[in-house]
Amino acid sequence: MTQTLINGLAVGGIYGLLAVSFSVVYGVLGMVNFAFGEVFMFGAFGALVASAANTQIAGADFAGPALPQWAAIGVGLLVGALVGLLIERIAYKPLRNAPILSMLITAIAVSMLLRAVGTFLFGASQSPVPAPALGDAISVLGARVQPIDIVIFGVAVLATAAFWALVRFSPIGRAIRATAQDKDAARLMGIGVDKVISTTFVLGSIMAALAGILYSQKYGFAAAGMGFLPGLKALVAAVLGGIGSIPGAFVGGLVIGLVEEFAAGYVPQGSAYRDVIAFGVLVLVLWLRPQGLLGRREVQKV
Amino acid sequence: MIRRTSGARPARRLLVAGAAVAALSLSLAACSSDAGASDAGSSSGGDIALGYTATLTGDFASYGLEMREGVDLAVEQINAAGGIDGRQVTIVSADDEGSPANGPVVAQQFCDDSSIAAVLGYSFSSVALAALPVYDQCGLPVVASAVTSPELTGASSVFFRDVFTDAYQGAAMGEHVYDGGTKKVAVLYQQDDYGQGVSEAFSTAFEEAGGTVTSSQAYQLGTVDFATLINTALADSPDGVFIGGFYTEAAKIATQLRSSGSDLPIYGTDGAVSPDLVSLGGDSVEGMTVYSAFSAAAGTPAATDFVAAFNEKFDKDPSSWAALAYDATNVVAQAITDAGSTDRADVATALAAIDGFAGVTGDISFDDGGDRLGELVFLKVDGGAFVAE
Repeated sequence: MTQTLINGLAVGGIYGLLAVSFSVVYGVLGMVNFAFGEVFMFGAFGALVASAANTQIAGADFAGPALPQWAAIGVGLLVGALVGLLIERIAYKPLRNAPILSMLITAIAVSMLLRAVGTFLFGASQSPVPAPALGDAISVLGARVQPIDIVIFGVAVLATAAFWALVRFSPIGRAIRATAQDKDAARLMGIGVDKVISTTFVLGSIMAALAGILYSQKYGFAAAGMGFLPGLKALVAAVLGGIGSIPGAFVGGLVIGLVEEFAAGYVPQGSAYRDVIAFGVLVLVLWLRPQGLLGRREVQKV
Repeated sequence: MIRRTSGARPARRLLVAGAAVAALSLSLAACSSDAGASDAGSSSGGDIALGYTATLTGDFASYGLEMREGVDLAVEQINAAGGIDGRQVTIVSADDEGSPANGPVVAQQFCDDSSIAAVLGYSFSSVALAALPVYDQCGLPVVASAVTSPELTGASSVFFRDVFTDAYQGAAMGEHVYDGGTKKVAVLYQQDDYGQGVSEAFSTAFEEAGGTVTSSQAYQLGTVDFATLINTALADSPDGVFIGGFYTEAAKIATQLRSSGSDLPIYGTDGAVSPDLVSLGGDSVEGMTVYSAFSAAAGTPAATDFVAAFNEKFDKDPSSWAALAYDATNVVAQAITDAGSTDRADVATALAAIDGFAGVTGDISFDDGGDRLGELVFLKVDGGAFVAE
């Protein structure tokens, strides 16, 4: 019971971080950036390559910088931010006034393109990621807790809180909220809407990259396709929590993580159907509460 | 070495499609039956041709290309030793592109070529299934090397395979694990035809030997988090854990099992035999036991000679597919020698009568369903490499 709870919180923390990315970008652009799953992947590879002494990129051997772990994580976040910035500039900016459907299709294309780039650079098979040296498991209420799980949950909570505080209290946060509320009015008030959108994208990408790095450390691998399923789950989490809401997205992530783990532990053959159960919960919540757990009822913009 | 990715068990993927096409081709073959039913192949003198077909292009080409290496080496050695009854052996190759629709087309092509005495290869069970009605019509025997679907068992009197079926291998592993002193085992398996088939065979054999399967849990291919699954598995205090799945998940299960504090022995399948198991699993997979039809490390004189010859020709170690195709080619050569002719019916009869042929993958005999009988090689991960147990 305790064991399952802790597993669920660690998995949920990762989903929560990624869900925050989806949620804030949806807030300012009104679209789902499917490519966050790939930013997640590039963040993980960025940290992996930066920490390795020798690596293979696109089939050729390179001497890696072999940076210490903390610096490698910084590089991973930077790579994520850069990928996010490029996606926004190249793919979405030209479509600023295009119909939402064009943006959605572009988002799917960008996601597939980035996954292909990842496969080209890092190969189709999984690359091993060395486990961080965090010491042995500790005992909490009779459950064995891996230190990495505590780190993941702590980092996820702190990063989400920091992100929320940034959006809530800083000037750029105010601009983000204004843009999310009404793009045209924000522009009239002298807010550089394009710059705000780019900033939001970069911040969201850093969250996604952070989630990817934590994920690769916990499960010991990075792969070009690693972001697909977590991306889907995080999107579910964002919708579940009320898309556009940062605390909602994080809570949604925790709910999905917990539901999955409890389904695996307590439903007969639940481990084979954990995804079905997680998505089933989404359907149920949306039926009872269409605006999501912590979301506000949205007025359909025409 | 062979790499198993999620697509690496193509044999089962297209099974359903294969069955549908098989049904279709049955009616097609019936229409064109008299074309292939001639007594082709009985002519004497000249070269003996063997058909070779597999998927040679696209994502799943590696199996076909690896088998071809084994075939080429065997043919080269046979011809260097004077051929079969003084006649040189040649290969007629055709790409089935992994498509069941091409199965009957290629089969008909081979049937119509009267110089062909037997057919080798096949990457996909679905393609072989689709082709069988055509071979039945013209009586052309097939010795396949990479197709493991249970649907091929007894599907045709002219179809043989020197690869073990999953059911056969799973059962052998079940007995092996019990004999090794493990009496209670928790089973984790990949939820598809492969994982389910091999785990059911394992569990049945293990329980028949006297063991107890404490729990049996399925997981999806691509799962990364096994913490809860492992918790449930360990709750019944088993003596060991059996994983019926590919190396990607097997490595993660091993890692997470070890970090949960358990040092139980871990057993895997041929799906886990990959260098990537070790690179992903690290210390956690040390001591893990798996099986394989062939291992360069098996150490029998025949295997050692084969590995050396293969290394010389291709400058790399043979995969198990290359070894199986090498054996299949030699078995066919033996059958033609035994039959004393290249008459297709005689060759088929001689193949069925093959008994204990000493191949590089061990002794080869076929049962009534055309399936391989023989011994598996059990391997253990030791110091980051697979060594024979």
